[in-house]
Amino acid sequence: MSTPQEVMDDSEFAVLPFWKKLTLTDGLWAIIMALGTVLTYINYSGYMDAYEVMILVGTLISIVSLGWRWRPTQILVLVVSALSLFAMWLYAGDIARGEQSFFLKFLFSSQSAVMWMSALFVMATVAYFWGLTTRSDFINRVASGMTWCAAAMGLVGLMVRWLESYLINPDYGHIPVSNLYEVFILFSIVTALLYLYYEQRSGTKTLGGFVLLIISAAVGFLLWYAFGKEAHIIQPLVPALQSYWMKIHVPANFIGYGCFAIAAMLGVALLLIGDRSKRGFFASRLPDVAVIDDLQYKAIALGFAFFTLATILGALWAAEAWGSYWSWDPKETWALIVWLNYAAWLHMRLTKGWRGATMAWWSVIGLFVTIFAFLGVNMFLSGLHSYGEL
Amino acid sequence: MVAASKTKRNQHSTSRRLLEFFGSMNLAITLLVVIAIASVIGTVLQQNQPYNDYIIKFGPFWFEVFDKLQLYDVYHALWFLVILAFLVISTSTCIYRNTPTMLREMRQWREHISRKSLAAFHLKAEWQIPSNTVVPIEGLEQALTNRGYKVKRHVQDTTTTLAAKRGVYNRIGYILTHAAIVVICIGGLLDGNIPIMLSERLGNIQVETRDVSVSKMDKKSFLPVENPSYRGNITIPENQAASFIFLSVRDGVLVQHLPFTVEVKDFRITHYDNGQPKSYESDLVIYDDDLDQPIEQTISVNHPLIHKGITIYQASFGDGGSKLKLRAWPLGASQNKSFTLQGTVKRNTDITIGDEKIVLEIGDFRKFNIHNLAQEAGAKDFKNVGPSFQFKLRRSDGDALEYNNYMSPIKVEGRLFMLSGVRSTPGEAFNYIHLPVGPDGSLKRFLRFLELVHSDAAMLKVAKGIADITLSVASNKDPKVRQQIIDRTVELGRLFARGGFAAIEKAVDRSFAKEKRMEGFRAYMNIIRVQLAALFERTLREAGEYKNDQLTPRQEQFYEDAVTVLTALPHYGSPIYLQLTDFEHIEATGLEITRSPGKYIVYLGCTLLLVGVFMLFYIHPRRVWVMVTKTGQGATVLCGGSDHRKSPDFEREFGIIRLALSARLKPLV
Ligand code: HEM
Repeated sequence: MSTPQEVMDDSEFAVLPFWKKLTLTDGLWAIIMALGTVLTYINYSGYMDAYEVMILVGTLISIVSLGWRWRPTQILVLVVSALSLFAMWLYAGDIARGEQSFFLKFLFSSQSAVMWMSALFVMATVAYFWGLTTRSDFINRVASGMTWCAAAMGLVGLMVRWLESYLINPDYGHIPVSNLYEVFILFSIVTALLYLYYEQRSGTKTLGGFVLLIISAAVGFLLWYAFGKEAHIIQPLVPALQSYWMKIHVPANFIGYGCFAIAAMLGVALLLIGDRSKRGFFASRLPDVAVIDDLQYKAIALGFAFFTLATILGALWAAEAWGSYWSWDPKETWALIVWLNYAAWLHMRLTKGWRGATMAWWSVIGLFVTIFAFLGVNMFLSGLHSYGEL
Repeated sequence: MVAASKTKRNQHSTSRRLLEFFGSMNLAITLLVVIAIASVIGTVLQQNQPYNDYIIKFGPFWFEVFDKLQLYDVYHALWFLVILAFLVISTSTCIYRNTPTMLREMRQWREHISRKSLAAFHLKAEWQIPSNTVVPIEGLEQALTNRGYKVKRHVQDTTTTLAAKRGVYNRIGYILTHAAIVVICIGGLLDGNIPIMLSERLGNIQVETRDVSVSKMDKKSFLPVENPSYRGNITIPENQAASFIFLSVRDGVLVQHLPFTVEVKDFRITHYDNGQPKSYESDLVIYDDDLDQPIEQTISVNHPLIHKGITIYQASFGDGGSKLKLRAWPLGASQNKSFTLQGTVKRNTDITIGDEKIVLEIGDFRKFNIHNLAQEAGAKDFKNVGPSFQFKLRRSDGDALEYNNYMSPIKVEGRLFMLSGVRSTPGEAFNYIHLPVGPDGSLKRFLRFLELVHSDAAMLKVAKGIADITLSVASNKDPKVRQQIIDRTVELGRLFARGGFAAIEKAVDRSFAKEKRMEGFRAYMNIIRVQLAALFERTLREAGEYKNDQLTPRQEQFYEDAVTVLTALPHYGSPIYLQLTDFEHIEATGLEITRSPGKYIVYLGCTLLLVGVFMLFYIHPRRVWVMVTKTGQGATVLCGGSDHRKSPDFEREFGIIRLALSARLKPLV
């Protein structure tokens, strides 16, 4: 930021419309994305219905706007696409190659990729806390790097799993967001990316450990679920899930869940800081309470917005699959509970201006409610939602 | 007069107090939380189950209590609807109270802001401009518009005020969001069960709680075609049609007439290679006088059919009265041979065994049974083990056991068996007897053996043999002793045939002293083993399968399996074994048929909600004022900014604005 002395006019202070901010690379990247979409359409339109084509276009638009708004994702998308295509080329249409080809067996088969993701997330968690303790910016940057790589590996894992489902049996083919195992991978990735975004906006890496902690927990569950219950085996879709709605309903939901998870972990950070005046371990290392508090609000706002979207999409889907947009099925009802809870939170924050410990606790409790809506319902309550029985 | 005006004022104040109450944020939050908690109940306590299940679960007392509290259908309970109504009122009040001010605020520039209040801002900046220079008002205005602000200039004698604002549409977001809540609730109410609830309280309709066919139902249980909104189910067998559906209400049903007739041509289930169901499909035909020709369409999960605003969904499936050809094998004494009979699923058939009349109630037929036949736990080896049917045999004394028989032999531990499961209550699992299948793939060998075991003649023959052998080694050859041995042996054999080990134990208890019982039992069992062995030998001989005077290992195995069954049969509780020989499969599809005009209102509400929420969060309302005041020695430029959320983002923003303004003013200072 330049100081007034050097400034003679203020054109540099002007807010430009976004297209004026676009660079040549932005344009190039968008073109590559568009080409990729066209190729996808040419190769796979046979597998898509009209809605899925719309979703494909929608995906292109969202990816491009994301890439323009947040440039690092351009590289992420390119890397993930490249690795996924590499894996596809290695498979050469034969699932058996997964065991023979070195690169697939140890790196890019969906299962290996997910294992790499898991390892990287855990390492990143450790690194972030190490960086926090030693106040080392270098280590924090390494941690960030690991998180990026983990997200990339996770995405590759999902893309390749999508391919594998078709290789095992064209009948089985489906986007890998159809059961608890797959959505836990999705959750880890989405949460990580959302965090990285806020990390970049807020310019502090000291909160990474807290967020990565919950991702590591998810990873822990993932591993237990895979090795304990063989949940990683690709299963075909039950009839109720054979719908294009799944492609948008589930991801929207997990943006919401990811945000709520981040908000809760920021809440934990706020509670650990406690009273600034006694400069404790965390108080002396973590950023100003106001900053964390603002991040927490941003996370819950974004989460609430996307959770609203997801719930509405869910209702539309239900109307098509079960004959009613709202049948008070436990999963629906718990979604409503989660939603009402955060609506109340937002009211307190925005109209009564509540801040601090109370809201921090509330966001932590909110996460538990969310976790129940996401896991508990499948485990303890019976309902129409056909997927994810443990 | 005075009094009148007073009451007037009271009314006035009470209405204001009501507004205060309903519009209060505390009420809003309370409602949100209360609804959340109330919703939990309905998810923990399974809704709309058969009332008997509840009685079993909670016992008569709590059943009553919960019933009074309408906990078996919380979301349609009056008290729940009342809470929702409160939310609607409260939200409406909020809109009513806030909208006018918000709209005004959106238009306002607040250019009359006083210097004092501006100076009191938390975010502010000030510059002193020497007298010899003019303040570039346009420049400052430009600086603000560059930041995306709309600016209004206001000049009042020595003071020029630039009132700038941004993101005013955030308030529209507020209005949309909250209006959406109201719209959604109203749409939901339209599709709710309130009309039915009312006309039931008025006694116009009556819920049918008896389990009777539609024809026998009370006229009061029928709802007219005009009924604007409903959601019900109907099960239609293939090649049959229906023009009504059942709405389940509490522990009973109502019948809803449809403005058309649905015929089911065919129902199909397709499977993945691992046996999981892949799709449920029904070929439907819609007959409607308003159509020049019937609609033919195939529906499946996620692909409903819509006609006249009424939607038909693939909801479930079942048996539509499959016709079964059966052969009944007598299990035991009754000398009559096996015989064939016809049965129909969900219908009753009378059978006479000897002199007893038994009612065969076939409950269900399953064409496929995909089982995991993998030996070691965890492994998966899905195979279709073929058709099975489930039935009850109601004995003359009225009580009945339930059975589940498979049509074709099933391999267990490498041997083939006919499986037949039995249970006394629907809750428990079937426990199966394994009838060994002979080399010819049929039950002939086993059943012949069984027949011999139950035939006195055969027993007698064996008994004689045994007696002779025993006496041949004994010294005393008294014919009386011989006769005793024979009688005892025959009796034991009969006991075992009728009552298995249990019966033998009883006999032992009767005829031995405590300390002698063990060996007594052993002695008896030895005799019985010899008998059974002999009878089995005879079975094989008759079939010409008894080569060089000894059993082959396979025959040994068969014998063991047969004896196992013998000991189990007394608990089997049926005088016959029903073998499924042939079937004609008739399926039925379960359709859910709904009419919900409120749907489109709800969707409108959802759209408003979505747009509203994003506007609320991502349009940031901000205001900045720049006040230039001429003074004796030049001028002072005072700048202040506010956003009602005190967000750090705006502090950053204000910092930039300050720099932008400085850039314009610096040269002068
Ligand atoms: C399920 C019902 C409701 C939902 C989902 C909801 C949603 C929201 C949201 C998301 C905000 C945040 C606005 C912002 O970002 O500034 C908000 C603000 C607000 N809500 Fe609600 N609301 C609900 C019910 C109510 C009710 C019943 C009232 C009436 C007391 C109410 C009054 C307000 C007020 C006064 C604000 C502050 C607006 C502002 O100044 O920004 N809301 N509401």
